[in-house]
Amino acid sequence: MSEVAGGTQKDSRHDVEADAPARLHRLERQFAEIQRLAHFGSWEWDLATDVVTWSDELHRIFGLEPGTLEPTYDAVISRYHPDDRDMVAAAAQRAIADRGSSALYARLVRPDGEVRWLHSLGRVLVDERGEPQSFFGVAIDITERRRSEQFLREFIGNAAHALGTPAAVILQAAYVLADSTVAIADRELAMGALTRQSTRLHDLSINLFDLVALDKDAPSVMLGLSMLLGPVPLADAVRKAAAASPPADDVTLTIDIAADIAVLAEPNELERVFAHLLANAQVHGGPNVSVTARRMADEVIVDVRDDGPGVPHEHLPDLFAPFATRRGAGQGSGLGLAVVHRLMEAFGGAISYRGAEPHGSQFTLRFSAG
Amino acid sequence: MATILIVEDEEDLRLLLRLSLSSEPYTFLEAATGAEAAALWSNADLILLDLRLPDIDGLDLLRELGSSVAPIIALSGYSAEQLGPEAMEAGCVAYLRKPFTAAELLDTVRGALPAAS
Repeated sequence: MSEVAGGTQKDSRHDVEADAPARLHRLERQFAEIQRLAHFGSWEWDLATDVVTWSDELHRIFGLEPGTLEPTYDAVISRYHPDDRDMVAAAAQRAIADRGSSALYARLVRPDGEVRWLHSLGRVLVDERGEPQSFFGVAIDITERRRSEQFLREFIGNAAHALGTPAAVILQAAYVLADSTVAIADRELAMGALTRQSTRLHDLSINLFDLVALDKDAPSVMLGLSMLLGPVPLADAVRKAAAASPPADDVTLTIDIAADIAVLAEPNELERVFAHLLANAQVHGGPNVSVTARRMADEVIVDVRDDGPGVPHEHLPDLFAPFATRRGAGQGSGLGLAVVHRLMEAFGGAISYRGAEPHGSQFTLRFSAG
Repeated sequence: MATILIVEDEEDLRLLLRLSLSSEPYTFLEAATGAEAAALWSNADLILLDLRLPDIDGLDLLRELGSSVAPIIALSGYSAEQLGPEAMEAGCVAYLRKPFTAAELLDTVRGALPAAS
């Protein structure tokens, strides 16, 4: 028995030793998978041999097939954006001289020319005498994060401008109203400007709020916005939207929707969808605007058409993005179509655009039938 | 009677500028874009020029069309420190930061108009 026990003990110790390469291999694979999942790469520069080792994921971040990097310091530096190479080299030299660490943001250039942003953190390993042995670290591709930060900065800048414009006119109107040398009749005109611009500011703030509250990537729960969807008679919603802002004299609006067509939506928000689209058609399109609907299986397809000039080709890629198009003065906030897009998503539907023949615009909305 | 060209993309702001100057018998021409302004540029005794237009930067427009036809007063939401020197260098005779009172505008316009007008 003791022999067996001893044998077992010996075997298990042997197993551990025999398993060590396998365990190491497993850990390496895990580390590679973790890098792949989290999109970060690791690197090491052996200072004695000047050999650089890159993980597979770091190759991928740089747009290279794993294992194909020429493993030298110079080859690595040449992968960075020409304007960032000196900074990357200086950070490495400083870290090595200080036996310390480095942290930097730099651009890399992939073989196909794509430029991406990297956040790189490095540390110098020293031997027992305190001499630098190797420089190693991790690098994270932060291109998407930078893009969304850039988007947010632009959005805030655009929002500030969009809010600032009516606010400035309101202040100017207030100055005219306060001026006793301005005739009463003229001050009434100033009052009109004040009312129009206040309304514009108010509408804009509602649209901005909706845009954030309806963002499907940012749960709207915290904003307290809940939308109860149910069947809504379509023709009613379109007529109400049209009545709320009647078409100008030179615009003819035709609504052709069967009375029994209902869509899955929220009644007030559905009205706003059409209010935005009709306003859009009147300002940018016209003179003939039509809304038609047809049922297709479980869906209702609605076309909002006008025979105006249509959306310029260069605006098509960003048509539903906030502040995508620069409009003329007083022609809306630049948020209408973005809000419509978000509302249609919230209804579980969709909106698309195409140029109408021979000219004009056609927005097509797809709803679930209610 | 002087003719004033208002180059400003906000319709309500054009209205308020006219109202601010209503105590004087001026005639007004209005332009909402650089292109519209170009067509009227040489017909005015004085030009009120918004520096931010939808189709062109106001100062670029001024450099393109020249500052010699009439005195030009720059209007901008930016502070005089930010854009004032550039506007004056481009040939403007005065710089007003929005918003301004009717009296400020009137004084500036009176000061800039040639005495004969």
